[in-house]
Amino acid sequence: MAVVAAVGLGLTGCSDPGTPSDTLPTAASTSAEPTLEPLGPADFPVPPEAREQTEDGAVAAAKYYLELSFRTTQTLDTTWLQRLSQDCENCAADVTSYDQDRAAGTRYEGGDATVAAFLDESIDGGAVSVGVAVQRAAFRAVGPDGQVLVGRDVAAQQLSGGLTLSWDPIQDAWLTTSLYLERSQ
Amino acid sequence: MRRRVALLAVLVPVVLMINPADALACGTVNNPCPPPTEVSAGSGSFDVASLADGPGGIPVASKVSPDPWPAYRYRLITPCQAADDNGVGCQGGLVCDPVDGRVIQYLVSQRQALVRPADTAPGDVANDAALAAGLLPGTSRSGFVPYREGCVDITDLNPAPTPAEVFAYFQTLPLPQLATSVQPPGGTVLVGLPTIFFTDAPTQQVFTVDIRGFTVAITAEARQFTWHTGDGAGAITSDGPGAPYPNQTVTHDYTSGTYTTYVTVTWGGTFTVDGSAPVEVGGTTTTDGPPVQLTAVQARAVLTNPYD
Repeated sequence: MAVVAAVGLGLTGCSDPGTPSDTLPTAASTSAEPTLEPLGPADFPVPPEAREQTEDGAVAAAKYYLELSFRTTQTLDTTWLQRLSQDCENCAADVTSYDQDRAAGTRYEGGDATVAAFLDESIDGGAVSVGVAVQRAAFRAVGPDGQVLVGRDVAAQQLSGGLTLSWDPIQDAWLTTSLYLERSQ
Repeated sequence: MRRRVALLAVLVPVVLMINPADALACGTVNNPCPPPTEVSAGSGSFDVASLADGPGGIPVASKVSPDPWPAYRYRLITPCQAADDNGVGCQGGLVCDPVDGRVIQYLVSQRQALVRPADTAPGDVANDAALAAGLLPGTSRSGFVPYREGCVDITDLNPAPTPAEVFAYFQTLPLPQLATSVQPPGGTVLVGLPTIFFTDAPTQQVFTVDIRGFTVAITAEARQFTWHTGDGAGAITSDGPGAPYPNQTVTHDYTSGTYTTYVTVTWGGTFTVDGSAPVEVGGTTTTDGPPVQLTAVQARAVLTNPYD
């Protein structure tokens, strides 16, 4: 969509109809690639393929969102989890959980995750359902006193489930609108 | 005695006794749900194995699937739960035509795709991708995706009685018909002296009934009293049962004549199922008390000698 808008502007050529131009546009102004506002943390930006308004784009965005959530255990900065989700109850629950951990001075050890994502189906309203399979290494949450928090020493997990995503034309990005994961074994 | 029944203006098909949020507490990155060991009625929604075509086009929810490797499992939630999930308003008043012996509710159905063995799902690209990602048959390969919305036969799930279902029993309870007490007593009241109305019968009563095997304790409460004065002046409404002199709260001034008075009581109630938290019954009903004849007379001053 951004490409269409940029080309459109190039063809019309000017924004002030009262000031005719007697020169051709410069090469720079006609060949400039439309640039998308970067999204995501600087060291883990949303990849270009996840910003395509296609089913494959939604699959890439779902994979990215889950990976971002797992990486958030290291930073406990939920800014981008919030910005890349919308009306997603379970996403909000994760954000709250991370925020509480940050406030409590909790840190995570381990928990590296590998995410596989695949198209489930397109659903009404332009949303896309994406299936996921996750292998997450064992992890534990440690309090500021260095003690492992009760009930948060977690063995390796195989997770499955899915996300639904809707296209956000303002950010040119997919937003996660629902998330559901369960342990596979 | 006469008995009138009034349905609440809006009957919301509330299925749940527990905050819906409780049912959605798992499923997050940090709190994934446990693997489903069996498909059963959950505390905050119904998880079911199949939605089969039923009579009248109403799908029938079942805990078991006839297919050993079903493609989906289903979650049934109320429209209000679905609205909460989507961050939009809730539409109440959606009810289904009753069918004798069946429990039919208006519900939103979501479905979740399940991984199947490759030979049972030829050409299913998503299933192939899930298998390639290492997921085993029977595990989920999607979240819960909107499927349909409408009436569903959930009899086989043996759901707890709903407020609307309890209301049907509520209407049949032998609720007391409260008698009107009048002061001055004796059937004769005075013009110019306010006549006091009250009832001293119990205004709360507990009934225990069996609904489809559930022990349901219904606490009926008299919530409104309508005192019919019988003189065409209109009825007097009070929240309480009134009280005798000197604490009277319901009074009426009569002119000379003979009148028939009675009180109509509007009963509401709450119920518990097998000791659950109390839930409001889905409607109110009324009872009329026995009529009382009154004669209003004009008192005349008479000079008397107290020493006679």
